[in-house]
Amino acid sequence: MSGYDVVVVGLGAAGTIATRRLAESGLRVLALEAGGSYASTDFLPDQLLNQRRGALTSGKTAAEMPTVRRDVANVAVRPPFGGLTMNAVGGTKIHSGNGHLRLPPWQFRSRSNLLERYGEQVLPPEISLADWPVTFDDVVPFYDELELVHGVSGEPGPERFVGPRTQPYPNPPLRRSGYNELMTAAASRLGWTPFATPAAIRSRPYGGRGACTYCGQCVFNGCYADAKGVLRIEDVLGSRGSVEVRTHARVTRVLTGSDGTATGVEIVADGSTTTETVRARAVMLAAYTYENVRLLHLSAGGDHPSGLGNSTDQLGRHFSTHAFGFAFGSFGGREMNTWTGSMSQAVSVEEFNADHVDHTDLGFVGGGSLLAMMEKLTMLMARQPPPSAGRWGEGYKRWLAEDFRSMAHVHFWADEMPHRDGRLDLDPTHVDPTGTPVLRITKPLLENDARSFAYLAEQGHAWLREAGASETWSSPYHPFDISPHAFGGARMGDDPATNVTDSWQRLHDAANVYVLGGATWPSSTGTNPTPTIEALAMRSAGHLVEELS
Amino acid sequence: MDTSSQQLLAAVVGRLIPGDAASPGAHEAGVPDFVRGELGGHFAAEQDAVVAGLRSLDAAARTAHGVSFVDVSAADQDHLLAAVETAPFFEMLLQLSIDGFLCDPRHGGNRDGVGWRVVGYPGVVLTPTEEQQQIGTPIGFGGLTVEDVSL
Repeated sequence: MSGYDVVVVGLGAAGTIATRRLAESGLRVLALEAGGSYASTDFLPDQLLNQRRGALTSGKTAAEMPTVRRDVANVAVRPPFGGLTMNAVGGTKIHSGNGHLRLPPWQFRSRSNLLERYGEQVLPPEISLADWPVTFDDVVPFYDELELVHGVSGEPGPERFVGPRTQPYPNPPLRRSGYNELMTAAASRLGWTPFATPAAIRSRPYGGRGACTYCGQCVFNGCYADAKGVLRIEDVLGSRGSVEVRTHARVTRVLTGSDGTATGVEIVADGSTTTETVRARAVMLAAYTYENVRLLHLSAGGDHPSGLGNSTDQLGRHFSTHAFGFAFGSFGGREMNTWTGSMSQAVSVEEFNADHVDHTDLGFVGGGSLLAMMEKLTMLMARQPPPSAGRWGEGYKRWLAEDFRSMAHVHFWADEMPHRDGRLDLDPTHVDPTGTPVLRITKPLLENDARSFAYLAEQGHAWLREAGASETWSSPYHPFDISPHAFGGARMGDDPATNVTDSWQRLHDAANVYVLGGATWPSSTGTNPTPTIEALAMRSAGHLVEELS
Repeated sequence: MDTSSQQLLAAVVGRLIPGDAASPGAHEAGVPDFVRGELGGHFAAEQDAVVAGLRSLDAAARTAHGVSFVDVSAADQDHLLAAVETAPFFEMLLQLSIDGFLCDPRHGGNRDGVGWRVVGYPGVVLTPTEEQQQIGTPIGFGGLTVEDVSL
């Protein structure tokens, strides 16, 4: 088989945007995707199908999800909940709420910032938080370009939280609903600075693509109106005819030459039992966090017997995720009309993200975004009655009939800290349907993260009460090891002794292998990760073009 | 599933989301049929455990009251159910009952949109207006399901 300049592994958010950038250069690119591709008309407004049965996600999660254990003394097991990621061109962004915030500038040097403000004792030794090797300013040009690619809808947030902006959003915020207005006013009375959540969902037609119709079938489902900022095959091909896309093809290992750099990848097409070899001058791994790290482990051989990129025993370290939480309010008999809309038709409060509040007496570090959102998914939220109603029986039924309509919610997720003893490696017993070991997550829990979650929930309660809720309650903290927000495993940093990738997300051990996605992140941050994943992928792709030209 | 298990299942589901004078419940929404279908289909692997759980519940009713679970009073049924509400078979029946009360009617539950009407969910509304997203303005029941819309 003839060779390519670049092979891109995975066409999710990172892989599509990277391929799109590579296409402009005229380099010969083969982009591989394990799943297929969808059309807007594939996305049925059916919550049993989408949310309960995971129509888009169950194929991937049943096949290749990692196992989990808390420490090395235990045997890892498959968690009961399979996760929310999917294989397809466009990836999990297809069914995501697509909130589109930039990282607060503070996050890029969170460790140093914390130590400077609170002193050495603020981080216990088991928290292995690290600064990023890139700055906010390094990423800004790519954030700017990305917003134009997707037609992001939004209004500028408070600069002290979300950083300076030099361009307006290409589209106005998603429509403000009654609930959005109610929560905006309540947040302002609390002294907070609410703003319309920026979203990679187009509020008006843009670039030949559709606009949001507020159908209330947005998450767990793709967009029938083609309003989401999700790239399709035709968006990544460019005009120079140098990009090939191949779906239903799974990469099984990265191949390396005698000098340790990559020479290509080995792939297996769906339904085939034979492997094919693809030669390339460079490889961009753009699968999900778990699969990227798994592939590096599976690519062990030759001068890297314990995995590609693992010469200093750093592969798989510093894993963390976001645990998702909800605070609920009951607005005494009022028809809240939050059934429709999108999860990103929301009001953002960033006061409690990063280090925007003084953590001196809080007992934890980190924080996260709060969002008061539309799209109360009937079948999901009917499972979240207030404790006073009970989970079943006459009390529950009375709540369903009288007060479910009066329930509205605030969503949040906390900045989970990486743990020194956490690790992603290959499971010794569990395999996927092809007989290949799945990833094994070893993830000790941190008291810090439970406290951070509880603190964000409290703010959600306060916000809802200020808005007039007569009763508030929240979902309990539980670790979300299998999460669509997963970070670490191929940490980026300048020092090869303590990092797998460099500031270009390139393996320290193999300069022509890039890792795109959350795997490279030195910290989980409290923000929707996808825009930053995409911006960094664009930056890496630009760097690779320079390297190969 | 044999007839006596079906009757037990219907009795249990009827107490999880009970109908009352104010509004219909699981029975009126066709939830027992939906749950039985799920246990014969998507959740076939759980059917034996659910049937075993239903039989143990029935045995508990006979011990305490001398008659089958289906023949004891609603209040006594609730007491018997409260004693098993942490059992996996109970959880399975509760989750399937909620599904059957609120799913798109094309799946066999939420018959005639009964469940959606009870909770105030408008059905599938692909293009709600600004007014329909305001607080206090009932959207009204549109009654549309995925079968009625073309994408």
